[in-house]
Amino acid sequence: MSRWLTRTKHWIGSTLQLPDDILLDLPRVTWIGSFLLHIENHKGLLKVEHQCIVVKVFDGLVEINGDSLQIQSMLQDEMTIKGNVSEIIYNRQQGGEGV
Amino acid sequence: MKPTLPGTIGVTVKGKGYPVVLQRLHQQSVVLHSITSSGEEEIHFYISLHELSHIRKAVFKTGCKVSLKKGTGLAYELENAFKFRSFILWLLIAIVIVMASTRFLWSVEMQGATPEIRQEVEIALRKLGFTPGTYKQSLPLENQLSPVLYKEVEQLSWMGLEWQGTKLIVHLKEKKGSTQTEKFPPSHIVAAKKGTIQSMQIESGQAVENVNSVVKKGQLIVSGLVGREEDKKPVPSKGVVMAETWYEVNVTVPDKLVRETLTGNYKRKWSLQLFNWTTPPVSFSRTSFEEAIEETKIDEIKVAGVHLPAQKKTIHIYETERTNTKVDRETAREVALKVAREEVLSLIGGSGSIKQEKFLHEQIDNGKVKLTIYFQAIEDIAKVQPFSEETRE
Repeated sequence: MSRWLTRTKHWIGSTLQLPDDILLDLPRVTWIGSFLLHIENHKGLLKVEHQCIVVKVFDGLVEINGDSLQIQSMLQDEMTIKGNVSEIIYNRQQGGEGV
Repeated sequence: MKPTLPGTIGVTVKGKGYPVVLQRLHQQSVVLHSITSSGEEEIHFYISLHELSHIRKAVFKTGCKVSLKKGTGLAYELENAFKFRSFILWLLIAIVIVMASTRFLWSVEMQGATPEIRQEVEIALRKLGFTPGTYKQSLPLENQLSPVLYKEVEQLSWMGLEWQGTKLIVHLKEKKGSTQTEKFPPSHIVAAKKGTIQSMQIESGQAVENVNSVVKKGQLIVSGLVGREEDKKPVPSKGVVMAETWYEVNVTVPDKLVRETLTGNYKRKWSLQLFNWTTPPVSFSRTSFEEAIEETKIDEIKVAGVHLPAQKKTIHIYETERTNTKVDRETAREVALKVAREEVLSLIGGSGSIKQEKFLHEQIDNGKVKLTIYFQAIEDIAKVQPFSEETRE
């Protein structure tokens, strides 16, 4: 997706007062307690380790750090991560699809 | 954690490029479960069996190694069921089932006696708990059972039980004898035919005629009134009176005989019968017969012990030959005698016999031989004639 299309979508969203995650293909992360993490609209996995999982999303990477992490299930655009999640880092990269 | 979906398989991907593999699988929208890292640059996940083919495409040219672990699920359970260890287990289970089932009664069979008694005993036994599928030990013993059965079934004189595995054979004997003869009313014995008495065997009653006396039809031979003049007692007469009787039989034999004989050639035709509809008969031989007789046979079609609504119809066609033979006098006599003898024997019944036979008259007329044959026979002429008390006076 080119940059001007993203900007246009942003502009339309702000003028029509629509939530951004509907217009854009943005991820939605639900963190339940410290043991369950639900990621919607993901774009795939980059790294799977016990301490660290990196998930690709529309405009960057989501890095999940913790202990004894495992992915319970990975569906088309939904993912459930189990384990002791201690932090989530959102690495934003311009242009979305770039990575 | 192992997901127990039908047919899931564990996959281990090892190599630097495993994210690429995951990416490709994601693009193919393959569902993965329990993704964990099982070592340095190594991940392990579960995938359903029918999506296994995607793995090969995903790994292509990434330099990763794939190893499959035995999975879980219905597909593998089935596979396990056919292994040797499970075979032994199934065998043991089967033996246990067979051994257990021998402890039950599966069928009851009646032997002996009349069908009516058998039916009565069957109903009585069912009332006492002898139904298929009951535990053998819970059934009453023979010495407990027999008095109950004798009471229930009046005509039964004896019964015995015999176990043949899971089958119970009940041997039965019905009551026979005196009870029935008492029902006979008092009666005389009269002659059924005209004849000369040859011998008499009287079981009960008072003989009126003697041996060698000639009796007419309906004449009293044995009286059912026994005793002195003053007090005579009515009894049912019983006995056999053998007497000499006479028969004249007229037989006509044609002097030409047309015989139909089988030549031995035959063919068959088959057709299928479904309810009332029959297919046209099919035959494999093309020969046709000038004169033939047909025989139809209908067979039920059975598949694994179940009758189908269709029947197989087989038509046998036998070739016949017609032969004309002229009958000479001697053969005509023989044939006539044979026919006449059979007729007389059917008239005089089983206990009688022919004593003498003689040709009385012979005549050839219009191509037919007419014969009159005289027979002298010995037969039982006793005929029971009941009488009531009032007609005695």
